[in-house]
This record gives sequence, structure tokens and C-alpha cells, in this order.
Amino acid sequence: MTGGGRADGKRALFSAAVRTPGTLVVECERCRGRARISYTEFVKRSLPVTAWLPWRHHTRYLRCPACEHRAFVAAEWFR
Amino acid sequence: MSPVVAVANQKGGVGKTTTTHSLGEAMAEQGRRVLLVDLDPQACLSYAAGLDPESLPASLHDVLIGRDSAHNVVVTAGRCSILPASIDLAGSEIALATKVGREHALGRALADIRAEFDIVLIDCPPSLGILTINGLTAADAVVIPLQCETLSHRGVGQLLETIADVRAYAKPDLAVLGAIPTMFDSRSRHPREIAADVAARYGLRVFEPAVPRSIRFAEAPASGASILDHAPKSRGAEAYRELARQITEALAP
Repeated sequence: MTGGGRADGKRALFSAAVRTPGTLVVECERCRGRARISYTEFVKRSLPVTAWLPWRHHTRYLRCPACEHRAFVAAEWFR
Repeated sequence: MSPVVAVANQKGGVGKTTTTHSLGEAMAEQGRRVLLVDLDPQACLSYAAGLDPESLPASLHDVLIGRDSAHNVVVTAGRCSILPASIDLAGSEIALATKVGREHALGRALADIRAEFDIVLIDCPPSLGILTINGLTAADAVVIPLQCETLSHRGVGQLLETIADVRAYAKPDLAVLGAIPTMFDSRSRHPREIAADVAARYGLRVFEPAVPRSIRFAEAPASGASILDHAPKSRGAEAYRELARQITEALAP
């Protein structure tokens, strides 16, 4: 498989695999799941109550896209 | 929390469904509450467990797309409970493709129900798609049925690459318990060499005893029962009882 083909395959299988503009990867402290979401989705999932604790690895408190529970997540903005 | 084990191999016809069903029945026979998850749209596990996939009111597809809860879809078959499949499950691949956190749909569905069981076994499809990725992402550990023939090397290598991707992109702590040699012909030297080579090449634990090749496995699904009920004293049934004990031990905290 070519490099481009492999990237296409991974993109189809894993939302977090391939960087897409306007998205970031979150990793949940509770379920350890990783998923890619859009910036808009990130804001929506932070509502109505959020927190930012910059001294922790999992800094942001929001509704995890993997387990759908509210939990602290690590936001990987440039991945 | 009860462990979730995916029975996976991207190669078809290696004994995934038979292994899932037989291990589940053996674990249930040993007193555990077992949930089987049929993640294959061909619904072979559901059929082998004595269900008619065509006449089920709801299937795992309804759970994955959020139309129904796992509680409502689970049925009892033999000693186990089962989340059955139907051909509708093929549509889940398309429905999930655009969903946020699509790799985690099965994990979310099982979160509601896994506390009611001692172990959950997932029968993965023989292909690499979103359903298989969901099976691996929902799992804590993977067991690989291995038909000891030359082409099996390729299947195991591909699956281990997929597992590395799952760890990198979705589930960092997914463990590989090992490989179960299936359809094993002990009269020939070749299967032993293949099993030893897979263990050495990939650093995998190869469980023993191997599951012997037997016509009893082919007969069992027609009776809607596993090998443990169809031929309870056969070498195949005894092998799965012993493998169930070893896997349960390997999963113990």
C-alpha cells in the first residue's frame, strides 16, 4: 500500500489517526480512550460547566467523546 | 469491572466464532456469567448459539446506532447471554463512519451492561473495518485464534499491526493474551513448526493445549449448541475447558 493509501485507510478506521484542520485529539482520563473532534464539538462538550487545570496532564473537564461521561481530558491541539 | 476479550484475526476461517462460543460456554460451565457479543454481520455466532438471526426483533446494530439499549437486546442462549448480530450490522459501518468517537461505539454500549457479567467475549469479523476496530477498542485484551498453516503468519502480523494502531490512536492499554492454535493436526509436524515460529517471531504466548481438528466442531452449530454440549467428552471440548481456565487466570488482576 502506498503512503497515501495507508493514510486513507487509517483515516477511515481511526478518527484520531490523521490530522485534519480545525480538529484536535482528546484523551480521556476516565476511559483512556482517544478520539478526534472539531473545535466546535470541543466547545459544545465543554458546556455547561467546564474547568481548566493547567498543572495536570488531563487539563480540561468536558464530556468525553469516547465514553460520553464528564471527565478530565488531555487536549492535543497539534496532533 | 469485568474484563472484555476480543477474539480476533483478520484472516477468515481460523475458528474465531467456534473459539468465542466454546470459550464462553466453558467459562459459563465453570460458574462465570458470560456475555457473548456477535460483531460479525454474517451472524454465525448467533446462529451457532441456536438463534435465528432473521427473526430477531433487535440486534447489535440497533445498539450501535443508538436505537436501543444493550439491556433490551441481550438474549439468553445456552449457558451464556448474547448480544446477537443480524445482516443489519453491515449498515452500522456506514452509520458509524461520520459519528464522533466512532471507534468507541461498542465500548459505550457495553459500559451499560458489563457490570452484570464476569467476562465479555467479542467475536470480531474477519475483515479490517470500523466494526473490528470497535471490537478491539472495546476490549481490554485480545485472543488470536491461529490456524497453523503458512498463511497464518501473514494474518497474525497484520492483526498485530492493527493492534499497534489501536493502541496509538484509540486504546493505549489494549493487551494481547496470546494465540490459540485451532484445527490442529498433531499427526503432522508442520502445525507444530508454525505455532513455534509464530511464538518466536511475534513474541506471542501460544496457549496449550491446541484445539484439535474434529468433525464434531462442524456438527455442533447445526444443533444450536457448542462442542461442550454436542460432544462434551471430546478432546476439543476438553481443550476449550482448559483454555478457558488459562484465559481466566491470565485475566485475573
